[in-house]
Amino acid sequence: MKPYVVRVALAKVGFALAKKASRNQTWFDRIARRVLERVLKFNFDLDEMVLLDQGYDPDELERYQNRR
Amino acid sequence: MPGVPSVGPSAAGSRSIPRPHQRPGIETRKALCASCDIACSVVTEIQKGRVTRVRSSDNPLFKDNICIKGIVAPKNFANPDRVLYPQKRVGERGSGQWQRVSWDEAMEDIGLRLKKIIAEHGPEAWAVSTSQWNTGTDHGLGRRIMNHVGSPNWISGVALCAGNTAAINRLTYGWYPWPDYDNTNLIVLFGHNPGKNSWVPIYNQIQRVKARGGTLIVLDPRKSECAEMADLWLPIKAGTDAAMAFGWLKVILDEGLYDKAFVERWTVGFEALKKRADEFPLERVSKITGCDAATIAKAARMYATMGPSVIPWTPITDQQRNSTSAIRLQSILRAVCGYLDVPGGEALMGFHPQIISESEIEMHHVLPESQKAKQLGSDKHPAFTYRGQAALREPCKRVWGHEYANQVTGCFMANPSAVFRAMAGEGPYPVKALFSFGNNTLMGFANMPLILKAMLNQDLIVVQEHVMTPTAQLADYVLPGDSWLERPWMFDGYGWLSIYKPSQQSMAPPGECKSTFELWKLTANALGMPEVVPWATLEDFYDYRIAKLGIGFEEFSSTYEVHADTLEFRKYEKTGFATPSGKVELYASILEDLGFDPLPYFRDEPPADPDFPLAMFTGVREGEYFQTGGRHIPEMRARKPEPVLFLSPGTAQQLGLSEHEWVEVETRTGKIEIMVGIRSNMPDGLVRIPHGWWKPETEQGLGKLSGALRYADAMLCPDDDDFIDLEQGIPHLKGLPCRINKLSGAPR
Ligand code: SF4
Repeated sequence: MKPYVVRVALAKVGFALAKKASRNQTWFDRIARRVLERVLKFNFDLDEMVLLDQGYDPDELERYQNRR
Repeated sequence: MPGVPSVGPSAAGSRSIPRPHQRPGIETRKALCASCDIACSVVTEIQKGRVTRVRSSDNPLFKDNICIKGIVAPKNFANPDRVLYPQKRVGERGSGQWQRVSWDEAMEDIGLRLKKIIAEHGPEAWAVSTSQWNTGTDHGLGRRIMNHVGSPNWISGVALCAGNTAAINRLTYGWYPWPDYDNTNLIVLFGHNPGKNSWVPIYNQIQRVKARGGTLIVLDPRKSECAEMADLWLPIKAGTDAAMAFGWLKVILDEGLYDKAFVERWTVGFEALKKRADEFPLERVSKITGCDAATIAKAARMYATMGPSVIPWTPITDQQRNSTSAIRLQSILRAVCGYLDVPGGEALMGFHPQIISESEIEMHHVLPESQKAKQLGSDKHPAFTYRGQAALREPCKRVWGHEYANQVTGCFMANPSAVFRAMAGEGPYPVKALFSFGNNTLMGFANMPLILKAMLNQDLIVVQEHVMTPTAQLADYVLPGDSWLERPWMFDGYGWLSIYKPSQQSMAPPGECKSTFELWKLTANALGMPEVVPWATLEDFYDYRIAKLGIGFEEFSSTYEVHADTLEFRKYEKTGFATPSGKVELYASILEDLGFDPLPYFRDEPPADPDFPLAMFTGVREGEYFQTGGRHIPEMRARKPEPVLFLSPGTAQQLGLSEHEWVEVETRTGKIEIMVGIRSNMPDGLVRIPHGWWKPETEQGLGKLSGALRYADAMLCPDDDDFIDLEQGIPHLKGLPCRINKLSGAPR
């Protein structure tokens, strides 16, 4: 296990990056987002229905809602 | 629970959802999905004034946190049978005869009738059953009004799902900790099984931990999806979590694998605990849990030595005969192994210093002590009631700056069964009015026959819903609620995490649907106390809560996806823990003062019942549905059209059952009809029953209740002394004696 102080420092850096990325307003915020895009691992096992989803047609929803 | 910032040195190589570029003419909004209670950050796409697509956030912190329930939201809320206008009952209760009325008419009559009930029976005759996440915009306003009126009788499904975990954790170290997935080395899942369509952010976090070389231990009677991914799987007997945790503790103490410095400096009751753990040699634990001693010892050693480790919240431990002891033992394992409030362990977050919490909105201090003392169930089962949590008020103020931390809204609740008994006329005083908001109370707790009797004995039932649930069918008024697509929202981390997430309104609510904020405001007005909810709009209310940030809600919601305070560890070194002793109470002084065993213990199950030779577990969510909701969504019903039990091939063969056959499952409380599903990952003798089944398309009204009387798992669950946890009074749902009866006739 890494020493406690190292773990704290790493956790704080990660948290600061996450806070920046969650704003996405300034240049530095966007850099934080880029960094996270690079280091985080995404999707492992998404449902096919989610992967293929393209949403609904607005007119189809209207017809469904009004039983037409 | 929520998708907290996840930052770690994970390898590159993502296979994410393909996102087409923004299409011209399609407006987008940032929102939080509330189709379940985990609040995934999503993006809504809007065409012709309505949401036509829900996809996951572009923010890497929340990307790919989405499931099938989220993406079908546009169809869900376009339901042609949605309740769009206030409905007043005009026939007998449950007759299905309704008249459309205006909001003004409805609220005036509700106010008059509620005031009359309070005048006749006292304010405690008014009970409310709800959840702040199901309704979205309650934000503690219901408790605030109840506290001003004088009623302590608020109940919620969180009594057996996370709320009780929070309350019991507080007994040991004063706050409910959040697992730091981003930095942890090892995750232990006690029966919990997050998946691609259930608790998705947690599922993704678990996979991130695995992908960067972390370890997963799963305890589950069946080889679940998470058990398939696990480094170590313990096929634990359902309902024996406390015994298993004792086994781990015994190994860790005997082998000196605990954090001696922390135990020495920050705990009380270690020697007494050690003595109690000695009552659980591995042979005994092995016999109770059905797992072999060597595997139990191996798991304990992994947890203690491969850390920092986390034991995330699990609904499974919440719903057992020994729930209080099991939750306490999980808390104790965290503490003695040195995993409390450290990176990669479990963080004690406290309140956000710049945002007014829901605990504060609730104003528990205005409810007189004499009314708190009347809270139903607090005499026999006080753990999460005002009485049970009272000794934490001063320490909470000392450490966290506020006397009442209503974490996961589970810390000052009445006992649900006691409230239903009082509603049925079997309590110490009558309860004659029930407000059920986004809750489907009839099917959300154990002993549904009792709840039905209780509802039929009410003078006033007010329901806020999207659809005519079985509970709504028994109401005097059914009021139309808005959805998460149709309102702004600010998620508060369940009063557990100090993070806040805003959600923008994506479309106008249909018909006359209103938010729960508006409904509570109208209720306060109808009761003649408008000053209790003084904010004109929901946005004004949010502006008030975040005023210290120096921005209004509109700017807040367009700027941030999550707002968090600074990160600090080992805060207790400055403040102590928020317990009466200021330390981690391995020996819980609060439980002792309440007349219970201050140490964890294990209560054996009652003698085997020869008439009911199988064991069943329920309370199980299916990926397609959230609790009792969603059965009206065509895409979901196409995937999962019927309730299906799971049992092993061996048990099916022994009983002569075949796949897709309809059967009756019976307990001493009731019976339901259900289809058979034979699954090779089920152990022999165990039956899994899905939670919350009814069929909205079938006949409404008393006698049928759209299939609730025929299919709901709550019909099977007892709440008598043998099948409850003593400290909390919550039902044992993991290992109930049952039998399966063959049904003659054609499949239904
Ligand atoms: S897990 Fe699914 S239903 Fe729940 S909040 Fe996330 S997207 Fe919505």
